[in-house]
Amino acid sequence: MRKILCGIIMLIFLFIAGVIPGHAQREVTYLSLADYTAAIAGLNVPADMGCEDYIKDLNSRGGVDGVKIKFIGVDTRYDVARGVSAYKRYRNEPKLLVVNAIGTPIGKAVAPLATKDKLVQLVPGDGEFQANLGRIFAWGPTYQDAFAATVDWLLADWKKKGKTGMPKLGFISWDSAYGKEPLRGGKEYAEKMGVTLAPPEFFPPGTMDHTVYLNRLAKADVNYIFVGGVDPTPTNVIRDAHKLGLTKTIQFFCDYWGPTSLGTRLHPEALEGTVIVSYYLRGDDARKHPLANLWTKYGRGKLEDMNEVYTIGMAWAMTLEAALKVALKEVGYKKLDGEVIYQTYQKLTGVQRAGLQGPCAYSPTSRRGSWEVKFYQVKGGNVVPISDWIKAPDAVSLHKF
Amino acid sequence: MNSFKKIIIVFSLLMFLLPFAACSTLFPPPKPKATVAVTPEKVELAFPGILRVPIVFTGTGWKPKEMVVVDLVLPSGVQIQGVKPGEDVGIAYGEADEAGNFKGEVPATAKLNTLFRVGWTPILTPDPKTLNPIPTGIYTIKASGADSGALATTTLEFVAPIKK
Repeated sequence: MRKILCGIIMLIFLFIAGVIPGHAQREVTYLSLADYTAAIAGLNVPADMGCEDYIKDLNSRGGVDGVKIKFIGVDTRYDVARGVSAYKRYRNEPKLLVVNAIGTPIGKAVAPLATKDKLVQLVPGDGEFQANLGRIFAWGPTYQDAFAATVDWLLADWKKKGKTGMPKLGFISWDSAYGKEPLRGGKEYAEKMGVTLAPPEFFPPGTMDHTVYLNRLAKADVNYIFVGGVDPTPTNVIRDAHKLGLTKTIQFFCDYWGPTSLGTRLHPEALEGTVIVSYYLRGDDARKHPLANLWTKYGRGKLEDMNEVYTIGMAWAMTLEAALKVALKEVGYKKLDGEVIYQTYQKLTGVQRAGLQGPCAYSPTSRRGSWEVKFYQVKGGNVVPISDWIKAPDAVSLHKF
Repeated sequence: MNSFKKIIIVFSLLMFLLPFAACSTLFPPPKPKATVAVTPEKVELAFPGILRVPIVFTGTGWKPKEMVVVDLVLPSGVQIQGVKPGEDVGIAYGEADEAGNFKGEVPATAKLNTLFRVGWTPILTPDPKTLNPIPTGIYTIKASGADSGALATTTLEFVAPIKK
């Protein structure tokens, strides 16, 4: 009789433990539509390592009020068709809240689906999503804002060098949605500031030799050249410019994606003097940050081998952590869904992410991850800061989307 | 049961069903079946020639404005980098128009990454030495609607390069 009673009590206990949600794992899902093995893997792999490691660390500390984050990374190989297919496969994951589309073309393709599913989607820097406010949020200032900040920088540089008249600017990047984005508003900003833009040069991703494009820009008598592409592409463009002797007379700039430690290790001489506009910490600024210890803690290797983009990934995770804190406080775990997290992302204005980038600028009228950029320069094979954080101009509003 | 009772039951049943039959809104015409077709139906796995051959999927009967995803169903044993065993791999997509017709083309990246399973060099350019075409044969193609969940299938044959 006693055995039967014990059995019944045990069964009741198991039933309660199984059906009461409080006893089940409380978890939300973060989906990365990534590229781990193709064109932008060089930066995406370390960036997602940063995101995954920060999430691991957060989960090991109990998550956010007991809610853990499940990280799903899918290798789309920078292929839009794979990105869309992968999104469709994972869209029904339990409590999927945030989808990070690592590349601009994938981001644009997935946006209508994530919008219908009422999720938050992250994209690199498309101004289009600032112009048309929705559920798509950029990681930092938009590409056109960074380009505009560079125009300001080069004008100051021109003046500092005692030059008269106005400088002429060249632009070279991938022939892709990403490659053209900085000029959608950036071109208007340059014109507004009186800087003449030479006809831009676009080349297919994967191009080995960029001399044809660079020669055309040189013939256009440009004083500065802004180089797009994901590292090592910008490194290779400047390598070719160096071979042509152009780096002696033309000041080269890069956007967020080059050159990182990946490029500076490949061609330090060619890159010497290159100026980088960045919304996240670069070089030793990144490696000396206290959070960089996660790189070694999770067995990624020596700290000197840490690519700076590792910190971007941490910032993605920190933003989600901040949103979860607010959302859980306001609605609790049960009611937490994509709509709630979308509303919450708009309340993150001013949230700090340990100084890895500027304060969060998300708001009901802003989809910028932050406003600030910092200028760095390649000196002696190292990427060193040459400015403090500077608020980037709004170039998105100058373009008709 | 006598015949009178039977008549009453049949009659009552008819009376019950009549309003449903009369009200056409309760019986909308069946949705057109989603379809997918591919042109050409046979593709030579020749590089770089394949980059010049458009592989185009078209379809009808999809929900207007929905995204249609086209996946290549991988037979067991065929491995593709970035794809877990048992998963299909996306090779094209397209948005259905107002009439429910869609068109999607296999992009060059999918031809390289999926059909030729290319590796990338340390400087992140496709490495021609690593070209490793998928096995020849007839593959199932699965098109699915992101909103409607509709599904249509067809086949696409990959053949070995023809010696000229």
